[in-house]
Amino acid sequence: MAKTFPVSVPKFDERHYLDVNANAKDAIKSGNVDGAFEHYLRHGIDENKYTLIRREATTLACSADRFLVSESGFCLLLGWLADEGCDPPRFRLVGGDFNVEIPPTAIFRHARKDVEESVKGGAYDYGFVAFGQSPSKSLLKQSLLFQINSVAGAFQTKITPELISDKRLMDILLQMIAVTEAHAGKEVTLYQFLSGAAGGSLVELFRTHVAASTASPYIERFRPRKVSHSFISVLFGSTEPIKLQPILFNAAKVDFGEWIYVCNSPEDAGAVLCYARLISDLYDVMITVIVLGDNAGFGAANNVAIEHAASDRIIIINPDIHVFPAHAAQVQRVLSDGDFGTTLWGGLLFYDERTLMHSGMYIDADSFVRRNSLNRHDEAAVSSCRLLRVEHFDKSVPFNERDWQEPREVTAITGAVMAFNKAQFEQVNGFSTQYIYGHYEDADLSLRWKKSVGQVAVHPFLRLIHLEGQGSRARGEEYRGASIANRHFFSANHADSLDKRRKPARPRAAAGSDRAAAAARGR
Amino acid sequence: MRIVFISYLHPAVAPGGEQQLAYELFQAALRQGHDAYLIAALEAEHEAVYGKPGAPIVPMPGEERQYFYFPQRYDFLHLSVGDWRSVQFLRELIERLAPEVVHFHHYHRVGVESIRAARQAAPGAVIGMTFHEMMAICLADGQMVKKNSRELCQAASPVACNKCFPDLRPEFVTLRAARLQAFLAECDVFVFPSEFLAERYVDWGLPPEKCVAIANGQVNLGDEFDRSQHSRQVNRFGFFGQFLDNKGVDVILDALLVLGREKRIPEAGIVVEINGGNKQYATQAFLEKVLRQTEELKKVTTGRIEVRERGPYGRDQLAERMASVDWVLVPSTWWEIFGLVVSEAWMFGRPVIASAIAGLKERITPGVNGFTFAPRDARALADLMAALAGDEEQWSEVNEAIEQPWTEIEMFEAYRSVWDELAEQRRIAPPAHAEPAAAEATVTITRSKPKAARRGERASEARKPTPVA
Repeated sequence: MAKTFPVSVPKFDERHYLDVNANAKDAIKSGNVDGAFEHYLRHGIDENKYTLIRREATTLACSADRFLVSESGFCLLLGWLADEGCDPPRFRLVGGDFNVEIPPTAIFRHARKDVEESVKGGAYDYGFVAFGQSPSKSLLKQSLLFQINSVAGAFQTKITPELISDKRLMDILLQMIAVTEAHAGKEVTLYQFLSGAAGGSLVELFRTHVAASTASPYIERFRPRKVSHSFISVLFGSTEPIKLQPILFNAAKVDFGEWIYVCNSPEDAGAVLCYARLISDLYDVMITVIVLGDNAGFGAANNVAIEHAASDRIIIINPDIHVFPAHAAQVQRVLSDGDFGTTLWGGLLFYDERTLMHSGMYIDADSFVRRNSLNRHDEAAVSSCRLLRVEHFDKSVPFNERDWQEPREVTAITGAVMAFNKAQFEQVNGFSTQYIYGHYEDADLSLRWKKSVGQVAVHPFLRLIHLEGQGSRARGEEYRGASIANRHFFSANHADSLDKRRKPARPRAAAGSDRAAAAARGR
Repeated sequence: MRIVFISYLHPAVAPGGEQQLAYELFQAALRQGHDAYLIAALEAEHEAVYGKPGAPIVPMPGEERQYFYFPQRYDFLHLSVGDWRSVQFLRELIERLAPEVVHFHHYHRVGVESIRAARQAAPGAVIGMTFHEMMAICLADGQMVKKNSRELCQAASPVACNKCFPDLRPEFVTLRAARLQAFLAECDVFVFPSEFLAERYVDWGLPPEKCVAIANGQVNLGDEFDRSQHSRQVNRFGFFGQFLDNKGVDVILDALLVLGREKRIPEAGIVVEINGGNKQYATQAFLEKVLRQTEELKKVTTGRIEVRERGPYGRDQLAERMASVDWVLVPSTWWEIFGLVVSEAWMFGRPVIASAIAGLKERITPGVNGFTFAPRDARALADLMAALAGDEEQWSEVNEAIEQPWTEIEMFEAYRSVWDELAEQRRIAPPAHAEPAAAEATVTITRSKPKAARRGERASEARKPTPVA
């Protein structure tokens, strides 16, 4: 057994120690320690149960860089703490007559190169992000004491909040999620953060933003009429799609019924409304424009559009979806064919070079393990995690016409093209607004659809071009952060939906596929 | 026949080849007894001077049958007017005029949406479009000259265009072209001043059966000019046109430097007169290059080469400026579509020395009605200048062979024969619901036919092509 330094405590009172510390008696009885003094040295001093030894308070090096509080009472505290080698510290905000404890699950630690260079160096995650919501909107909107306590040391400073909007606070947190790295492993660190209280608060924050953005949308219909189906596209940061899509679909003789453009960037509303009226006038087609108060994300924007659609047959068409003139007649037949039934239909999507881009999706997973010895061993910390990943079948595969004569059932389909009946969509309560801005809500809808409505299948004749990622201008780090967070949320929701780790079997023919295929091929 | 011409700019507001041609066609139509109108889309900066509050279209001050159009929300990338109100006013004006022909001379500023609006306003009319450059094909101002290297671009493609415009993804180029072609499909006929341009547009995606080549015509300013007059030394060369990067003034100066350095300047010397305006639109790099060349020229030619910069000129000054030179240099370094300067030189009997490129190459037969040299090849130009300076016999031979270029009346009649034929076809088989005429319904060959048009041609003895003047 390794020898430790000899320690003497002249005033140690063995009887008193055993009287106040039942654990010590048990440990002696079980033979884990030889006596009360050994137990005191190995456990009692750290547990601070017998304050015989006077401690000189150690001040931990720390900085609270930003303290942000939003209109709805969400707060975000950013800074760094040099607590390498310390026991897990407690974070607390202290007001005049109240204390707010920040639980470990509301904090994630990340690497700070600047601190590493100036404090100690080495691969320790000095940075911290603490995020949560106060039960009161106004409680934290005042100067407070920020306290950090551990047995080894403490830190205290006065902090005054920057008061900002919910959206700005959310975007700052998402940017942190996007750009930070962690020596312990980013995915594992975020997993603990996002699967706990902080994740719940982040979703709540986004839903608060969505509610505000969709509370009173501006809706204008150009050349309204009775239509058999409604196309829906969500615009964000670009007006290009409305200049292109209706013209090109019309030129290819695809009757889009009503085309609803949901404008997630209200600054573009003027141009979108102008083009909508112009194209509607020039080609005598129905175009509806819905302008939201702010970017409510893909799911919420589609939910609003479907609620206001002029028909019960919905076709979600991403702004980067276009039509091949050669396949336009097939697409038109699919649209003319009538009921979509209880199926959630996906499209057969191509790159513009005419190789396949998407023929359904399957669910895979990646594993991540906590690393780095400099970070403390914390039994409460998650040591590994698995995150689901959504993969497309047939990405960049040459298209073979013979392979695609009938529908195929798949695990999920992309939100770039979805066709369904409104009633069935409402049956699953539409897109989940848990997913921030965009990503994973399509797979989430597919999995929920399959559980409670019907099958999810790729339609062999809904053949379109997908210029992936070019329909919007979501270029800020907050959108990347949202995608990362959404992956965690999706994994938490659908961990049991993981497809086989092996390459999944080819999708099977969808039930009723003969009828659908025949209908789509034309009678 | 009631005809509405629609142009970009108006020569009275801003001079330029396209607007001059549209205006002369309009004037020719009136002179030939037709009921013609001209609508000129102006730049935003002109609205403050010529616009009237709340009116997207206003009558041209002091003129009849002419209008200025101020389209709003213009998007250059798509050559699109995104303002429904502007397009609606244009549509209503055309509707009120009830033309049998609507002929566009540009889509820039006019907006491709106007073609559809014209079709709505006049469902039975023949709709035509004359192309004067390659703006629909090439985002670099329609020049098809690579932005970085200044090399000539042989063909637009998504990847090639992305090299010039890295911010635009290759797929955008494809979508933009598809959108433009969707609007252009409303036209019954596409007119090109040269076969070269027709071929470029057919390669880009226009249906060849709708394509027709009609050479540009102009009001002849040389009727009273003594075409056989030349200088005693036959050593005076003139540049006419815009003092811009792609017009090749630098090639002339380089050629003179070659002659100076190699001591090949003819005994009588060489005089070069630069008649060029719009210098303010040339790039700084180009102007600096010209300045360097001019300074160097002074050092190597010891005064036996004289370069005079005479500045811009109006059409009323053309005869006097042409009288001052023997030979006209057209050293364009881009795909010169037609070369109105060639027509101007020929009006006055001046032999042309031009780059063998695009429309210039089509029009000039070396040794017969002019001379050509490889584009951008200053040494080849130097050789020609050295050989021709002082050669009175050669000058006279070519001078006598030069035919008068087409007049605006001849050009108009060529257009009219195309419109008549299409109008007749529309009368026989009117398109349903004001949809654009079917592609096979429009085949017309007039005066000159592009090779491109031949691909889709239904030849008939009645439509034998006549060579371009």
